[in-house]
Amino acid sequence: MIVVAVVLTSDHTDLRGAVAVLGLTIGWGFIGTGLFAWARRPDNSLGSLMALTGFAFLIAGLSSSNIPAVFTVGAFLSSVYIVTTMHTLLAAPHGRLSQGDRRIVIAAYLLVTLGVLPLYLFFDPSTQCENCPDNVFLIQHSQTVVDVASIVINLIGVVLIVLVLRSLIRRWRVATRAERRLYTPMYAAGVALMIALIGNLVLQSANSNSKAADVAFVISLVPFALVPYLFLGSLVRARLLEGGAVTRLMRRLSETPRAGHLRDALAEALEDSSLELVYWLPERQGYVDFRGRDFELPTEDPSRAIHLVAREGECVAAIIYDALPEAKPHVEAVGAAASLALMNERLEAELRAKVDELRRSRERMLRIGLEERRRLERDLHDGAQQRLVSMALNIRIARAKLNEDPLAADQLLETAGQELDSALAELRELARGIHPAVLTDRGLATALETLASRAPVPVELAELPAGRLPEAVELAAYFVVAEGLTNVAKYANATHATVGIARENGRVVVEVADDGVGGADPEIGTGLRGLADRLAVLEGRLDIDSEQGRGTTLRAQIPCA
Amino acid sequence: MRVVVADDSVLLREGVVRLLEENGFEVVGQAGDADDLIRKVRAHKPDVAVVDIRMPPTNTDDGLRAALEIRAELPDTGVLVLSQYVEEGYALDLVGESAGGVGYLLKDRVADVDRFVDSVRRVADGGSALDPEVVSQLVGRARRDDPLDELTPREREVLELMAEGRSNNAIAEHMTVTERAVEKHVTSIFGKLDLAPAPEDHRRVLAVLAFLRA
Repeated sequence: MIVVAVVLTSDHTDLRGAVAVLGLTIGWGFIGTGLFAWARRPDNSLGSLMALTGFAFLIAGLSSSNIPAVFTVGAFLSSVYIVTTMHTLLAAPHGRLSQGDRRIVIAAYLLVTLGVLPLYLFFDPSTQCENCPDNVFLIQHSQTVVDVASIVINLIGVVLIVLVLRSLIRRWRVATRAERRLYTPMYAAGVALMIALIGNLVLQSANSNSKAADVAFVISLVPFALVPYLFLGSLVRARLLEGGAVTRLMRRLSETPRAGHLRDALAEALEDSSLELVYWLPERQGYVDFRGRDFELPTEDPSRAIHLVAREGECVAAIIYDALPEAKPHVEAVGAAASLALMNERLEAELRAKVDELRRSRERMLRIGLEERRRLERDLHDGAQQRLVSMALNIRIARAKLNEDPLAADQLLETAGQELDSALAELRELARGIHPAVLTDRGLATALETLASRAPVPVELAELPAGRLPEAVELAAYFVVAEGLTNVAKYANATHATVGIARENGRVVVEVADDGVGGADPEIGTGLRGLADRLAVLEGRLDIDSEQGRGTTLRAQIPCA
Repeated sequence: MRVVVADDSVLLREGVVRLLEENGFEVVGQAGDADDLIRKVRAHKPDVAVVDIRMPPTNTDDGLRAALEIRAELPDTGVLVLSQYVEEGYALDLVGESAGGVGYLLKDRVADVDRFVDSVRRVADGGSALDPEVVSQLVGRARRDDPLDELTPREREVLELMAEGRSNNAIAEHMTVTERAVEKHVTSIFGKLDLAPAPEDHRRVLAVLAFLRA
């Protein structure tokens, strides 16, 4: 009000009414939106900066005063609001300045306060306008000092504004989609304001009393005046989004669901097309998408934020979205609203993952089976078959020689007998590799005893189940121990191994531990891979603990009621 | 000597029967499955039963189970089990608490007629006959601070033959040394392994098995 009165009664200001109305609208526009934003987000300095801009703008209006002291202060601080505006624009939307931006802003503040001081010490306003009040800072009028200072100040001003402009444009280029959606109008207004200010300063320097400079100044007031309203617009929009997001989500969730429906619903509700939705599967200790495919959370990417949705204290899903401070509360609200639907879709994803895994393991089993058969064929062909052929030959020759050279015939039959023994031994070993009969006949304990006694290192059979287990479980456990002991023999360089099989909470736990060198890589070796597949068919899992120098423990868990 | 032969493969059974009959055994009964075997053994009370491990009705180790039943019920009847596989587990189960009148041989061994006949005779007489492969598996088992390392190669050989159930006489013949030399080896082995001397062959088999198993 005081400012309005000051302006309206001014003796030296043209268009008093217009200036008063403009000052009021623009000043209070900034102050109002600034206070509103400040109240809503006390941690974000944007609100306070805007309010400050509003007050600075009103203070600039004091230069219309007829009282010398008030006039001088108003004129002296008349450019501060431009710097606070720059500050606001550079700090948007998070309210923080980058290192480079901070230097620009500090330089600008210094310029409009200390920098303009020479101007006010040596400038007598009465030399330019007759109705102007006295400059209370005046020491002595010096036109030379004033001219030089004006040019230097304007030059520095232009440079600073160009820097701000560059910073704004760069900011726009790296902004995320969501940020652009919210802040495009504000950035545009900022850029327009900077350009108009450059125009004003350049024209002012070219001709200190030109009308064109005033026109540029008036033009600059338009984007300047718009800044608070555009900011207010983005705030309201963000808040509307929050309420609207849940409503939109609910509407989408009531539709007939299809695979991946939930992700689309969330993306649409949050207006973030880049949104990703993945489910936590405790059994695999990892995330999968709705198709059941493995997913790694992007932990290194600052442009992506992660929200974990929990239900009944258990992590259900992760929402990966465009990192934007405004988005966080919406994502949380939407995540909570959708948690039940998320649980359902997680079940589906889990099923898909399982089916997928089963299909893959079935393919691997098939491949392993084929390889096994090829190997058997080769072994039979190179071993027993060759021996039998040679034996058949020896017997026929022996028969032919029976009468004429009984000694040679005897020799041949002896050789045939030896070959027969070897062929039988080979066939026996082959058959054992295909399926250990002793396991079916006598159960794990006896079969493991055989395995243990054949191992090249001492094997202690610790705990073993008392009764028989389902055949498939026994076979899987047997192969775990067989593979484990084979690896101990091949790689571990161990002096001792322990085998234990225990029943714990509905599962059979098979453990083969050695005191060898450790450092086994579970990714290497088709043996372990095949073992994992064998277990996967039974919904079991295989873990390898093999720290360098600490021995290796192979541990299989097989569900078994 | 009276024998019952049990094997579901007629071809093999007839072969074994012929082989035994040619070597002076009297085959008093033939069986094609485990139940049949037990029935015939109860009826004929033979000196020894030669039993295939894999037989109907379940085609798993029915023969072995029937053998255990016979051993429990008729201790005077020897049982010689023939197996397709070398499984120490089977052998140790079969021997159980006593190595008297029991045998476990690979099926292939029937081809070596003399040794096979000798084994049947030994089991019928209350001795033991363990397959050399089973014994070598047991002896070859990796142990911590293996006491077997203290044995000389010669003593090791004697140990294995002893574990098969052979008499000193048979061992001497096999190694072409005197029986006296074998006795010395045996004493030395028992000393090194810290075992109590056993007078009968089948008792020392049990002692050696118990040692090897531990």
